[in-house]
Formats: sequence, structure tokens, C-alpha cells
Amino acid sequence: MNQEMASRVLIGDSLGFHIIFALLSIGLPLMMLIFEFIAIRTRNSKLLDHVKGWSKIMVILATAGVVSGTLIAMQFSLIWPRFMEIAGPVVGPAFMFEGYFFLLEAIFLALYIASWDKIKGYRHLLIGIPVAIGAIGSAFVITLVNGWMSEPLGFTMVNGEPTNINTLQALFTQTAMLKIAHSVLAYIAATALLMGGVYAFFAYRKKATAATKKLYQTIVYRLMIISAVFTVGTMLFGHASAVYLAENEPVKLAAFEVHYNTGANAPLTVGGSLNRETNEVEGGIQLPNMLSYLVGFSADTEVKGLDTVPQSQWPPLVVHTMFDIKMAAAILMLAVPVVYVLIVTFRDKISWLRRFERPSALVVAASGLLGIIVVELGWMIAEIGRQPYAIKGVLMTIDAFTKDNDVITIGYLFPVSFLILLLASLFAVFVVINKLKGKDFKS
Amino acid sequence: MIVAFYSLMVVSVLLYVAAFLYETWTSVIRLRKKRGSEFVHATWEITHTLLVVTLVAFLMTHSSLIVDIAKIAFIPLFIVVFAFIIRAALFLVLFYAKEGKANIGWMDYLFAGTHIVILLGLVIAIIQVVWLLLTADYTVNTVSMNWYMAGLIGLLVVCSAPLIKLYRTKNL
Repeated sequence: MNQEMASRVLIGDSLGFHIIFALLSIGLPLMMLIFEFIAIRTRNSKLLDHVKGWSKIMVILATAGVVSGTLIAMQFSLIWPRFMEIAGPVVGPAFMFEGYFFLLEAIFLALYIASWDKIKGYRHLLIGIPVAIGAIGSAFVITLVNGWMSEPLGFTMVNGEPTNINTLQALFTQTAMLKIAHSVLAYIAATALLMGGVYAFFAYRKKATAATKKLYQTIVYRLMIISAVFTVGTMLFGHASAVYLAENEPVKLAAFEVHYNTGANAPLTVGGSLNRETNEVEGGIQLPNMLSYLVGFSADTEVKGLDTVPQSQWPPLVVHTMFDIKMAAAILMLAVPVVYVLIVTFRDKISWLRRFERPSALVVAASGLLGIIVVELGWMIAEIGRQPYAIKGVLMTIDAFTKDNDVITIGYLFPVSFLILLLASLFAVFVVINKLKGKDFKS
Repeated sequence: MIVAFYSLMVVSVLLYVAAFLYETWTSVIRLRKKRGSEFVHATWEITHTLLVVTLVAFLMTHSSLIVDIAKIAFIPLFIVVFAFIIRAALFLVLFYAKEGKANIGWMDYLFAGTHIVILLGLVIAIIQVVWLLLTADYTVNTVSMNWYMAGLIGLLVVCSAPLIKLYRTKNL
């Protein structure tokens, strides 16, 4: 492994771990608020106990998230200093405000946890609102930076230094707005699906008391509605992003779809790969005209292909396979909760649906991790799709990393330590979950 | 403007130093107890975030120095970050998984040890960076300084009272 590969792998590992903690830290406060509101309205003390347990899990996630986030901040500075030399003056405020939002979240989370037994009802719920604002706010501002990396506006490079800086123009790009909408909605959907999966696993166990079954099944039902609604939102913004890419980052879209020939009647390719010698797609299924329809609602829509730039400018075409897997997982991510909700909603009116309730709950339980997989793939596709640039058109990734320090030796420490952190977090979360369900199940 | 900014950074650094020294002291004295449950709980990541906010403010305003900082402070800062990760993992196991019920064991000593490593690493890195600030030729990036200051002042105003309350009582 050389210095370049070690630097890429290290930042990739770090971001891959961090996003798991981050996405759950963004979705969970919203779930806490929704279900605390329901618990107060319905005077359901059992449900409130569960929300209290979720807040402990939130602290675990925030702890792991802030540490992994610190590492990433340090990595950007120590391993990718050239990137920070350019990004710092232009979009530095976004990095700063991410920290400010996180501090807001951390402080009010501490208050939220500490006040469970001392402040009751809606007053306690109000303390939780800044937690959600802080979580979503930090996601908002850091995704502004990522949007800028793909659409670098608001500055001019003169002798290798950014000048004529307009931070607002740099941060609030259309790319950034679409990414924020698409990703934040996905985080919430993924969190609801994971939580629903956990509760579905326990909801239909034989050892559960009748009251427990009713509580858990209600929780699953509501979480599946939330997951489905936010997945639909995610898909709509995903489509909007693709339409935008076709106009503004056509090479990226062409790589996602292994579309080589610029022109109308562009097919959508599912599976397969592009032969770089012949520039022909091999394998897979080609759906005639579909890519033109998706981008411009007409078979006559011209879609720019990979033939518009030399091969050295292509992103790695592995993004196509990743994109296909992501789309398949996203479709399941919608189908599973919708089917469950329909079965539970109509089981009293259509009695034969009852026999499918438990199997569909088991499918929900098995699908809990789908949302996380979709988010991971989404970010991998976004980052790989921007290659070979770190800042599109401004800084190649190969010019952005440090050549002065030995990343290779130190780099091996971090995937190992992240694994330790992930295992410690999972261990702590399982203990909290076990305590939570301990009282609800017969021994 | 620059003097005011440095003054604000010093305030947030001092807040961090005070909180971290308290956590380091607590992590060591709990080793003397038979059962180790005492520690600052949910405020842990507040302290940590103060450090991150100050660090990011510094890096963003001194972006022309980042390449030089990366050269001189690479090793101590990476050791600090590695210690942060191990410390976080132990924090989760000791105070959430075990809930401080077990007797003091090797994990508790390692937990205290990570605080010492972080302290030493940060001191070395800060000395190196201050030396660089005093000897290097650089310009402070003031383009977004008003944003940082407004945000930092607002945050310190909003957060000081609950922070003090949480550190004094651990509970409301």
C-alpha cells in the first residue's frame, strides 16, 4: 500500500464508521420527540420508559460520534492539508457551525437525560427540541461543505490560493441543498427502520406478555409509517438529484449508469459493466429510453455520456454496481414497511391477512440494517463519483494528501480502534436494550 | 478583531482545560475506590466538543499554516486521537455496559491512562504549534472571523450556565 492509497483508505474507513453513529444520532432525537409526545398524550408510562431508554442510547451514539468526528477533523488537517488550505478560508464557517450545533445538541442532551425524573410532561419534551435542532443542524452544515466540493463556487484560485471569497455563495449551492434533503431524510428513514426492526424482533415473541406485545407492535407500526414516509421523501430528492446531475455533473451520472454514448433515447442499464476497450456495456439488462425518461421525462432527452471526457477523468465505474445495489436496497426499504403497515391496518377487515402479520414482522426485523446499508452506499457513491477530484475542477485528490508524513504505519491503527469503538458501542447499546425489555418479558 | 478572536479562543480553551483536568483527576481518584462508578457522565462529550470547536476555529483561521502544522505535530496529535478513541470505548463499557458495578480492574486503569496520554500529547502539540506561531511567517484568515466570533459568543452565552450547573451537580 502506498501513501496515496493509505490516505484514501484511512479517510474512507473513518467516514464509513462515523456515518453510522452520525445518522442514528440525527434520526434518534426526532424519534424520541415523536414518541415522547405520543406517550404524554396517551398517558403511556411504559412507552415513556422506552423513550428514556432511547435517550441513553442517544448518549452512547453521541459519544462515539463526537470522537469519530474529531478524528475526521484531525485527518482532514493532518493527512489532507492541501484540501484544508483551500477549503478553510472558503467554507470554514460550515466546519465551525457544525461544532456549534453539536455543542448545542450535547448540552441539551445532557439536560434531557438529567431531567427525566425532575421535569415532567411537555416541559421535558421542550428540552429535547434543541437536541434535534443541533443534530439536524450539524448534518445540514457539514453537508454544505460536501456540496461545495462537487460544485465549488464562491471563490477564485489565484496562484494556488483562494481569493474573492464569498462564503454564502460557496455554501448554499443547489448541489448542497439537494444532498442535504436527500441525506437527512434518508438518515431519519434508516433510523426508524432499524428501531422498528429491533422492536419487531421482540414484538411477536411467545414470552412477551399481552401488554408488551400490544406496546411493541404499536411502536413497530408507527416506526414503519415514519420510515416509509421518509423513504418516499428520500427517493423524490434522489430523483431530483439525478436530474440535476444530468445537467451539472453529467460524467458522474454517466458513471452511475455506465452510459457511454451521448445522445437521446438513452437506456437505463441494470447490472453489467462497461468494457473500457470497446466502450460497450457487457451483461446486465438495458431498459430502452428509460434514462432519457428519468432525466427529462421524454425519450428525446439528450443524456451526456462518458464519451464527453477522457477516460482519465472518469470516476471508478464500480459506482455503477454500488448504485444498482443501493437502488435495490432502497426499493426494499420502502416495500417492507409499506407491506407491514398495510397488513396491520387491514387485518381486522381482511382476516386472512392475519396469517401474514408475523412473517412480515420477521421480514421487518431482518431488514433493520437496510437503511444503514443504503446510506453507506450512497456516500461511497457520492465520494467515489466525484473522483478524480477532491474539489471538482480545482483540486485533484492525488494532490490533496500529505507527502511529508508516514500515513501507512499509523493508518493501520485506526480501522482497528474504530472497530473497538463500534464493538464497545454495540455492547453498551445491547445492555441498555436488555434492561429496557427485561421488565416486559416473562422469565 | 484578531485580538478579540484570540481572546475568545483563549476563553474556550481555558473552559476545556478546566473541564478536562477535572475529568482526568476524577478518572484517577476513582481507582482508589473499591467500586468505580464516579465520573462526569453525559457532560463528557460537551467537554470534548469545546476542544473540537476551538481546534476547528484555529485551523480555519490559520489555514495557511496547516501544511506546516501537519508536518510538526503529526505524531503527538495522532497519538491523542488514538487515545480519544480508546477512552471513548472504555467510557461506554465502564459507564453504560457495566454501569460502574464491577470492581476496579485493568479497564479502569487504562481509562485513567488515556487521560494522561491525551494531556501529554496535547501539551506537546500545543508547544509545537505555539513555537510555529511565533516563528513562522503567516497571515491570519479574517474572511469569516465575524461568523466565528458571533457563533462562539452566542454559544458560550447559551451554554455556560447549563454547563456550570451540570458540572457542579451532575444532575439537575
